[in-house]
Amino acid sequence: MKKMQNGQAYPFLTPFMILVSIFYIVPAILTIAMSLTGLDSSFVWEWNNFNNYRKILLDPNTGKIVLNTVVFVGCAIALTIVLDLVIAVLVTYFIKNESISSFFKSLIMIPMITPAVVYSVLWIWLLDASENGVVNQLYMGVTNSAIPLNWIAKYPMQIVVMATVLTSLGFGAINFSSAIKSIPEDQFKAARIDGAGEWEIVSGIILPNIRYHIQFIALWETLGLLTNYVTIMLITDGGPSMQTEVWALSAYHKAFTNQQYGYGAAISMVLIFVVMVLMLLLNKVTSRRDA
Amino acid sequence: MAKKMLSRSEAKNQRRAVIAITLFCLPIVALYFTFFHLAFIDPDTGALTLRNFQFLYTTMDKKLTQISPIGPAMKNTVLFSVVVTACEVVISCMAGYALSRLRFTGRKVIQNMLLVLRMFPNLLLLIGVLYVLMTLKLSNSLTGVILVAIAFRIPGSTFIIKNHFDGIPRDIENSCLVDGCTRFSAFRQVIIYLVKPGLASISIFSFLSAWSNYILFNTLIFNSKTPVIATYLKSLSRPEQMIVDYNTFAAMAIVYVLPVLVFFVISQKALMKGNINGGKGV
Repeated sequence: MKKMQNGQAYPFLTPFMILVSIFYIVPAILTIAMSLTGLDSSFVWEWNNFNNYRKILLDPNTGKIVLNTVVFVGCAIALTIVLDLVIAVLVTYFIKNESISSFFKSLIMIPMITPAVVYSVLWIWLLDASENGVVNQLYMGVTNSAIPLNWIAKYPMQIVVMATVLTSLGFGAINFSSAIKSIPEDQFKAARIDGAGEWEIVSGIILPNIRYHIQFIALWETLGLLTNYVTIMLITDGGPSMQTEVWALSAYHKAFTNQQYGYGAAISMVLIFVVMVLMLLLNKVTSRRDA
Repeated sequence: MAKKMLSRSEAKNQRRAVIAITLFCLPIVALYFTFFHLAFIDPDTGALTLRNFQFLYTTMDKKLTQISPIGPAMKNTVLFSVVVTACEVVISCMAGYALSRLRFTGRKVIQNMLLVLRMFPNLLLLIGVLYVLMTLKLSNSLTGVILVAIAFRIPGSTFIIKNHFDGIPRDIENSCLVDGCTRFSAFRQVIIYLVKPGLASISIFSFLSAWSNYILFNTLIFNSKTPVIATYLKSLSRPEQMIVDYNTFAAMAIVYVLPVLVFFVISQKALMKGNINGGKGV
């Protein structure tokens, strides 16, 4: 039995533990407690017999919000993974020149590092509803129509999906790229000697080798897409008429716009349960990936 | 490293791949370029001008509203980002070291907690966090937001830096201890230098996320007395109606994004260098 080094370890850990308990553990407990009360801006804690959860089930908008969330996360995740893979294979497997590939990798990361406030305005400007909008000018030039379209009002979901996918590309592409790099060169050589074409190498060697990385990124991005509502909030704010209102954003709106803290907490709790399941899966995938 | 010669088919594939990826990146680059070049265009006449940058030092009179200078927001943003980055690096470094090297009661529990916390969607806890801040009388202040921002990011950073510590051979540290270092001086004088790439990557991500943080300020600060650039820009742009013209906004966005870009370019070089040195051992 080795000697415990409590005296040395605890000073190192104290600031971490204090911050984590104040801003994770206490808020988590508070959120659970709040979700069982009708807490609003008057801050009266009163047990309300699971009324918030009942309200979620009875709310006519719940179905729409769930559907929006599924569509948003599903489309965004599929697009992200496919594009990530294409980009990673292109910049690591096909482009052997180190400096060219890192140049493109940094280009891909630009939307990711652009502050959300600027990034959203970029889209709003691009899709401006007046005839001065960039997309409208293209559209009117190509189709010869005289009426500019209000793109954000017409295709809100498609637009937030595209905007979100672009920001999440960087992380996955870089991750896949380093995974592809760590595949032993021998495998490619052997395949080539056996006469495999490039497509067979990609589907027969690269994809199987990085399958756990793909699972990991898929779960990780799902987690992020489910819970991070900032891009949607800044571009459409859930509108027009709830068309892009996803679950996490609706929790935010209920809690901070309508000041129904209890109800908002209950909506958050539902999502936290879903997220917990995802995190369990993610832990499993991570241990398999690193094994 | 000697330059590898590419066979003819490999060179052809590389050319094709470059073309494909360029086609993909081109719209993004064009989008950014067209938007940011608006900053130098006069909205009325269309001539080249620097008039859009007046918000840097003076109040701008627009048709609908007055735009206050960016100074205070800039000051707050810089203060916020620097404090958050510094604290986050120090705290997560200490915690990561303890978790990687020392044995103590509760180690396993904290390690498992870290695994969960690093993925935990902290934005869902904002309601609880707001209540905590109000109880601590820290809501509506920069201090409160700084604490929350640090707390929200340390699990992730600790996890990264812990992995870097795990990669350093224990012998290095033991030889320091034999040579008469205490745990702390070994940490400060030797170990810190071996995890430089890790430190670089957590400080880069910490700075970038602090600099562009919007949601915390939007949620935890209710007045406009502590503006940061993010909320300043947001107050001038609404989804329905821009308060300023796009030209001025683009000028502001340049001021906001430029430090991020510069930092990104510099740190990328440092990161690669660090990784090469780190790979060679001591």
